[in-house]
Amino acid sequence: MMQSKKVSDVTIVSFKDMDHLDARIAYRIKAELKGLISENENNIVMNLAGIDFIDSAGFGTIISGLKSSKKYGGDFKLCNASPTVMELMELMQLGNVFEVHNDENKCVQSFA
Amino acid sequence: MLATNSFKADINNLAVLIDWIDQFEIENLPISKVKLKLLLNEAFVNACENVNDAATEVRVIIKRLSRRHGLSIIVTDQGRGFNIDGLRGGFKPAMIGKSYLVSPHPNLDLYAIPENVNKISFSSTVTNTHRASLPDRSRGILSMVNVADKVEYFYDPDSFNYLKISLFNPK
Repeated sequence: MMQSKKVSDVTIVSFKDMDHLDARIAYRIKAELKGLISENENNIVMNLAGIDFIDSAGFGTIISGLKSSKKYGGDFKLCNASPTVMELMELMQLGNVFEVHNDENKCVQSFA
Repeated sequence: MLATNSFKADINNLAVLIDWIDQFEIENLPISKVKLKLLLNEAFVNACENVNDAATEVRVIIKRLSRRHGLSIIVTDQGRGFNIDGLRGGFKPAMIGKSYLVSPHPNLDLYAIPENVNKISFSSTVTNTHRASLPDRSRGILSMVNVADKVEYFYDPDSFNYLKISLFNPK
């Protein structure tokens, strides 16, 4: 399941009790992100700690989040992506699409 | 035959499929396990999206290729399959029922050009007029194209559709 918290003007979303972001859950997460991102909540950090596999549906959800954030004038960044997730990101030709940080704090600070 | 299994065409069976992939050992895999997992994941989701009901069986067959000792993965479903009629851009009716090579290989009659994360264009190398865009949810096909050496979708209105993924060993 997805959970969120706010640090200054950045919303951090993370995942609990799940290690795959795939077609089984992607559409639910997409809907939750859509409900979360708005004009006032447009700077998003997605903490991928614990996620060890993302398929095209999962990446579609993340891309959707990025588009929504940009639409509202914000940004959408990733952190704590595992080596496997980074490999998958490259395979999907998304290596240059997302800003990825190793650490959640640094990712949040990068919005400053 | 190296491995075969059948799964009900329910997206929730992805967990069962992934457990199966994690368990079997294949010597001299031409790709990493994570790439194999991605390929089977995408092929299975594609099959589930195409079938008419969740009771349908999706069959996954993994074979050793004889020529270059790579792997061949075949995923069959019993649904109406890839909606060629629904593609924008004018696939001719005569093209329906033939196999479509989905590969960024310039020497094939039909090949796919990954243009961005949302779209694949099929082009004829002969006339370059048969272009078609895939809907956003076909991003999975692009994933497969990026990982495999060749992806072929066989559409047959009178029989099962199947997706064949070929992985060659490095020369």
